[in-house]
Amino acid sequence: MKGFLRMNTGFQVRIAILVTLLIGLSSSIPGFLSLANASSVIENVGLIGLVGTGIMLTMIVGQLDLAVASVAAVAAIMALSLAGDSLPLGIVVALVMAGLYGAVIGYVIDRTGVNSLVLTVCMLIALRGLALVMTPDRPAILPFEMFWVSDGLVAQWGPLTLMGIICLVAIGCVGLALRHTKLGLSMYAVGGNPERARGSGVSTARVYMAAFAGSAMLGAAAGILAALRSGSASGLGFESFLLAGITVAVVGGIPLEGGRGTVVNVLLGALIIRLISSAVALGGIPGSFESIAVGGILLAMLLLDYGLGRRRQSGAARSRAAALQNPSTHTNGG
Amino acid sequence: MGDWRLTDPAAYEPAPANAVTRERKWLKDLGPFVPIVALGGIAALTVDGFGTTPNLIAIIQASAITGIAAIGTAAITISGKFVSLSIEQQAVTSAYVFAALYTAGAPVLVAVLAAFLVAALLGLVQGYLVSRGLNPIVTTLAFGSVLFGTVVLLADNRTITLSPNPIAELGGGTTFGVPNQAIIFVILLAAGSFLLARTKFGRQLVLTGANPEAAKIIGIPTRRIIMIAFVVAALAAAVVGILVVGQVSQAKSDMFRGLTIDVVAAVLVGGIAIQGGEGQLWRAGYGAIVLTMLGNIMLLVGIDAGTRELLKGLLAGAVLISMTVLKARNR
Repeated sequence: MKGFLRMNTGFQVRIAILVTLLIGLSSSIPGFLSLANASSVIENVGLIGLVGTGIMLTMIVGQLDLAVASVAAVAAIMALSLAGDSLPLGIVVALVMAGLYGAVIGYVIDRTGVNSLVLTVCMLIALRGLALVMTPDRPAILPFEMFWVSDGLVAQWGPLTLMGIICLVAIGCVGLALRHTKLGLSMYAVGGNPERARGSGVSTARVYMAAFAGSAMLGAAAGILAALRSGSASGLGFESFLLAGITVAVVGGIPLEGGRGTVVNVLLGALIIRLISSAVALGGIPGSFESIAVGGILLAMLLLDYGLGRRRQSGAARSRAAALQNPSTHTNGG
Repeated sequence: MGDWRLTDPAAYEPAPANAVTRERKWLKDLGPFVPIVALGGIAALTVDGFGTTPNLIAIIQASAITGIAAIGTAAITISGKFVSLSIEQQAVTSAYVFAALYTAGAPVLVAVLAAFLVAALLGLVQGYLVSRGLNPIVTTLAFGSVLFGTVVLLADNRTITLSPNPIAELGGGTTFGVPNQAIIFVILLAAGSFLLARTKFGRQLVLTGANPEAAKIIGIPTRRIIMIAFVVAALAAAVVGILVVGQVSQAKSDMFRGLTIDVVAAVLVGGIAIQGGEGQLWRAGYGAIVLTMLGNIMLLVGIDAGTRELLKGLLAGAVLISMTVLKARNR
């Protein structure tokens, strides 16, 4: 119960930041409360939320996937290159390939015990190379007769766009699956304590494979959607996905130690980050301020969670120490 | 209990095993060099233009920048804190500090010292945060983002051009036909290896990475050691920043794009155990040379940039996985 309350301290701080941002920005920046801006914020919350949800899956199982940006680039290029024949086919092929790749990575991590962070850095390099190989002369572009897809994705329905809806629905599905399926629950179990989870019969291989396949597929989906929206995908593109994805997960309050975190955290983090970006865009502030603000808020949240974790730890340690010390202080006093 | 062993023939049984491990150790020490020598030999015989002196010098020069940054970063890796993801931004910051101060009229030496001082301070802050238990990857990622934004903001996103360039000779010149960058690389490699193998700090660094709890118990100031490791990495990045300003006579915000990833790849390919507590600093430099040499050979054979990156990533992954598997088997 105490742990639950303290976990909420971090959550409350985040809500407070979000509310402050909303009030501050809507009162100081004209045009901030417009439907157009709302739909753009929601659409982008969905997009980086998609990336962040993928990274969250790997964080829940106690790992970290740093290759999402390169996966997104390869998947987007693959989908657009196949769009000339059939766009749905291209999207399905790209997503399936991403899923297979992620499953292999998860399997390797389970079997060899290799550090996921470093393995995925290697994949980040290799897949970036693959993306460049796939676009030797020029970026992959959406065929002209398919441009209606781009228009359809960003067509505004009130404060929503089709793209925003797709992203949010996908994130919601992941959230439900995490909460209500056996696999989802075993992901939390493995992240909390892999040895104990294995001991109670959970297949860690399956869990890691699911987490990394999920992360790759969500990253791929975000890459494909972003490419469809802009109509092109370059071999060097989507680099910002990595920092954005990790930032929304950590700013949203997902602990790096694993075992905890929900899509609500991701959406909260994504909202905070996108509000800052939109303020930079609308307020005529130099673009470099955005990386200061985003990096700064990421650092601040790391420190906040660290402080809360320490308080929790030292509280536990103090009560343990007190229990141990009590008899001895008695004898000393006597 | 131990007495009978002396007379029992069985007592000699461990001896051959020892010999084998010694032999293995010898193999293990030289092992990393086999592929590079083999690769270099084959390339020299089969690839036109590889075995020429200018090309070999070009390889050393090209690996110097990544290599110097990698030597510093290896200190972080050995201390058990993975890598820093703010190497690029550290180098850019140092480049800007140096270029800005020099164009503002400061003497070269003052500008250089100021760049080092700023780098050391920034490294110290990151080291402090990480030594307190913050995740090194995410902390340096966030710090790098703030740092880059601040530098670009302060510089108003302008390129600073040095004319005249007082350190052109240092960054781009040669001594007896050898590029100065390569000489500095080799000197730092030797100094770093000495520091790690022969000094108290080096041993404390290794122990901190191998077993932080044990290190703390026997009185090693692990937090200070980690902070020093981050300062070393920041100083190495500053050397890189200043050298490249010397070479190209300007400081630009995107001058080090991709450096961080190259450095991480060099650390991995060099075979430094990513969980810390093992490895030598020279291995990072060695990794940088291997990667540059491979890139050079592929370039000469006509393989495009994308494929080179792809193979680089796969190579780093293969080294990483085989090291992890070997380690698990030895245990």
